Amino acid sequence: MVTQEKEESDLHRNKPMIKVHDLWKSYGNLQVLKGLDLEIYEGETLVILGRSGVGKSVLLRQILGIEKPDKGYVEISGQRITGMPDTGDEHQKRVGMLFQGSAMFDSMNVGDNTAFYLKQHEKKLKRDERKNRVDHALKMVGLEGTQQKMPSELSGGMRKRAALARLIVYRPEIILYDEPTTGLDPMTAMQINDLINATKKELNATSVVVTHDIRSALEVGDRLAYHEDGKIVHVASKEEFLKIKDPAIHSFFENAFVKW
Amino acid sequence: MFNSKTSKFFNDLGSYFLLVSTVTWLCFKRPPSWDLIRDQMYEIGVRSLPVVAITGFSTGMVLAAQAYFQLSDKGLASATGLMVTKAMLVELGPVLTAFMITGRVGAAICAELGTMRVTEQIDALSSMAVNPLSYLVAPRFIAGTVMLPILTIFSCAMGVLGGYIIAVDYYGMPSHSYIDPLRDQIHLYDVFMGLVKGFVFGIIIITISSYKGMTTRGGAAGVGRSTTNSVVICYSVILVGNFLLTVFLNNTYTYLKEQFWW
Repeated sequence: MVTQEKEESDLHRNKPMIKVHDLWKSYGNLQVLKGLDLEIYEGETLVILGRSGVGKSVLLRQILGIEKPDKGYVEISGQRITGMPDTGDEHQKRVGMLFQGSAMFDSMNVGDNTAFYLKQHEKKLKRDERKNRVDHALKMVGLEGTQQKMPSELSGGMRKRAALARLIVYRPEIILYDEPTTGLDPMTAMQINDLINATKKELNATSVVVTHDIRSALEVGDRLAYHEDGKIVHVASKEEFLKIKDPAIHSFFENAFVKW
Repeated sequence: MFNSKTSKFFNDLGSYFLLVSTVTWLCFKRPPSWDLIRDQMYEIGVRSLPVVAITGFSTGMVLAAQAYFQLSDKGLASATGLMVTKAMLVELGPVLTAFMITGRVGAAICAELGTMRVTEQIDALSSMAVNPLSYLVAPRFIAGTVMLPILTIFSCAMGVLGGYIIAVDYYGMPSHSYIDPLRDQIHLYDVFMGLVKGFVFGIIIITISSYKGMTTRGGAAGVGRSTTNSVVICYSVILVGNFLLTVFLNNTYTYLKEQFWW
């Protein structure tokens, strides 16, 4: 049963920025999404928690529009997206994603990676202007001076930051984060959390973060959602979420923290 | 009824033809930038020249040595040049070039695209409203279909040269005995056959390698599996395709000859 916790906040809650309705998706015999419903409001950061393999990343790929659902739909600002991975789709220019493994293009240096979107879609931009935007994005993530480095020369945390710069440079309205802190040490994870918050402020973007990292969830999330068995079973503000009496959530939280 | 393997085979076949038709459509409708095509032409064409040269040259030498050895005691040594050139132009040049390009370029394309797939780089392209087929496959497709015929003719030329060196310099055959029969017996249609085969093999190599790369699953092991499969499939399709092309082109030649008195 979906928990319908009411909450007050300064976010605009009139119309959802992202609406996911009755979404079903399977791979072969494996049914991953089972009629998932979710609404995400403009300017908020929604964190989706849940165990591995329940389909959190699949949900992000559906919102991104690079996979087609079996049934149901995703709406962005009231406009239904088809989910077809085709270019020229204005929807995909409005949504950016930070992938779990960073997905930096191996064959390009950091500068070219960061400038990639601008070179593809903003061809009229002057070279100096493009360089300024790339430099600004890299400076924002603390990677100034790394333009000539190849992704293979960067650490895991630096690659995540470089991938974030690649998003910041084209200012998407919606940013999806797939496990942004997974595999990083706590200090670097903290830096990434700060960057997620800074990016949200800089771009005024609506963000959806999929993570197992409870600390990260509490750090960046305005609302938290719990994904279980192909559905979102709870959505609530951070404060309300912590009060939910569901053994699955209790167990998830208990196992997330180190016991002394 | 179909079992799951048969159904998967037809599913893959359908997806493959969908990729080929989409890429062909994209090449005309939304051609990739010249920079991307040029880079691929350099990678597929220019960088393959040494291996194609060695293959063509050594095959021409072997053909000449064998032809001269087999034919000289029957008084047919003067057919050596013709045999080498015909064999290189219509069969060995296209097939051996295609084999070398499959190993050098096809495997690399599959491994590169496969790695991009499993590390989500292809999804990253889609997420930035860049069509992966248009950005990654179309430039390779254009470069492959242009460069394979050129490499095929280059390989044939190297084969004829290799044969000449063995027949003339090693076996002491008069130079004109090697070259003169070529003027009468090698037709433009033979060159055309070589070019058509190179073109078709270019399509086969690039599209199969790209398809296997784009559909890779399962991390590093998956990339290895896809690459092996793509090479084996390319070799098999090239061999079967070569037979079908030979029959088709020979029949076409006969038909044209009868119709237009060539």
